[in-house]
Amino acid sequence: MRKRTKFLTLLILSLVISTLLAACGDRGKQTGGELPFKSEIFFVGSSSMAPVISQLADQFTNQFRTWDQVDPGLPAAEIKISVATGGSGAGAKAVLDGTADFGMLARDTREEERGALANYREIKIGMDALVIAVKQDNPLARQRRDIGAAELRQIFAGEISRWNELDPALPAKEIVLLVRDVGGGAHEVFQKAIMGKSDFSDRAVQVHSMPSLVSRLAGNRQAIGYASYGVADQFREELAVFSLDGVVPSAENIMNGSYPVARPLVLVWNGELSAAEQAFLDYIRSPAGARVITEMGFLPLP
Amino acid sequence: MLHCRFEKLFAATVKGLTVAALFILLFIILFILKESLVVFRQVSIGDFIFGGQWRPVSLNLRLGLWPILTASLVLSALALALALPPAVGAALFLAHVCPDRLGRPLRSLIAIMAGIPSVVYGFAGVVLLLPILERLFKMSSGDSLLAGGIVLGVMILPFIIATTTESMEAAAQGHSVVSRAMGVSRWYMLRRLVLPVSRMGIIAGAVLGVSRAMGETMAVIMVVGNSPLLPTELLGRIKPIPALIALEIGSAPLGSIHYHALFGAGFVLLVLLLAINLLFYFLRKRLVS
Repeated sequence: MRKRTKFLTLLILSLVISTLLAACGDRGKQTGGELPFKSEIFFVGSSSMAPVISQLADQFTNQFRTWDQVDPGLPAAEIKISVATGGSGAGAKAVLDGTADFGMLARDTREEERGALANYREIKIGMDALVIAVKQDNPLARQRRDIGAAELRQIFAGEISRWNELDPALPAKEIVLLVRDVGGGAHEVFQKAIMGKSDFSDRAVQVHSMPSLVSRLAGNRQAIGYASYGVADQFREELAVFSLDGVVPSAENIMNGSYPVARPLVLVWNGELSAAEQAFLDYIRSPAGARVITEMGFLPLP
Repeated sequence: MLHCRFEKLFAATVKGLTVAALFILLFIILFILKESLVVFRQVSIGDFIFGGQWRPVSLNLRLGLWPILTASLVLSALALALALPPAVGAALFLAHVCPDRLGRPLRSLIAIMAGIPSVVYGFAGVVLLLPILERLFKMSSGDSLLAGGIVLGVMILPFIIATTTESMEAAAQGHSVVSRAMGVSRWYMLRRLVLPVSRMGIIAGAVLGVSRAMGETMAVIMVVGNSPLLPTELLGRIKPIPALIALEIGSAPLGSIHYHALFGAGFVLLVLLLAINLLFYFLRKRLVS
């Protein structure tokens, strides 16, 4: 009994002490050298871009660990890349305030944002596009593979709620709308490009992630939904993809902007890049970076 | 000597950790309250709770929690209604009917049921339950209040069974020997003695089950469709509070009205749970006296 108490005490003590020690670690480790080398990069902005940058940062950190592994000319400081979300607007603002190194904007930058920064710089790292899809054997898909933006708005606003209202030859079944959660990136793109000022129907089924949305879409004949380009591509056997007013959602059409349900992924910064920042940007634009962007469901820009 | 000092140290550590845990809880509640107060500066509490539409990012902003709040209540009630009868039956069986040799493995099986991650229940719901409902009721999509109720009902079963079994075992002490001596049949004893005496335990199990059901998120998100509609039909889609928060908090910009409204929803959920627990507490008090 006594022995056990002692053991427990030691266990708890050691736990507490190790937590305290862990909290103290990493402090005061400064890199030497003439110029203070900044080994940390901080991203703030869009919540749809954050997972991509996080994933890129993870891969980058796992591959190199310290900056001198990336480029022998850099000091052997640990690579630290942090990502925080707060929306595209918050990203632009953080760069302006100097609280972040990069802003992540999942939209085109605004005139006032460009004007506010003394040395405004940006690069587009990719495109986020949504394709309109149904299951392969959906009755509408058998008839046609094109849909009008106006029709689409009516369907997603709930003004057209049964397939036969679209065409009397179709069954009188409910159109199941599959959408992502309100306020998310995909919702925002679709709202802007298709819905305009209309609200989504309250009856729409909100699915918690894009892969599960697409797999639900692939399993339900009565459903229609928007799918991010990358995920829809993984399911291309099971899905029928619609062109929008005649424009096919091909990589080419998305890149040149003729397919409307898309938006750019932009990184914004102020002034010159540090060596570390340049190295990470180079990684994002490398084939390995492009692969990560594709895996996350977006189209990398060359 | 040494172990005496250790003893004191141990006591102090344990006390310190307990206080810390309480403070964390207090801090969480205060934080949620503080974050949600912002929304009530823009929307009145009445409108927030009784408003019929939830459109947090629309041009004509609406922050009405009523369909979502009622969905949470109706869903938990449905889950409880589905789970309680089989749970009480199972508890009676485990406590008094089934032989020990079968009882022990059965109990550990039920304990395992409580430990299955909720996403697994949700997955089973999507893959097994939704297609069945679609075929059975000719629905376009199986996501519904009923699907959520069934999945949740199964999830809270082990909690109710465990609590109820314990109280039924305790309830029969003394009675069973006397009943047998007087030649009363086992079923009569169970019906007229054990069941009424163990109603406290049944209520406790129900409270535990409802509390769990109200807060369950992942399994529910996967099968209820998450459309903010009033829970008026069994086959209609709903969006309970945990689903609302989990789905939308990730994309609500920090400090926006949407963000604070979600905290407001969390606070309402907290108050609801507290109210339900208090209600049962008073019910119990009245039953005892």
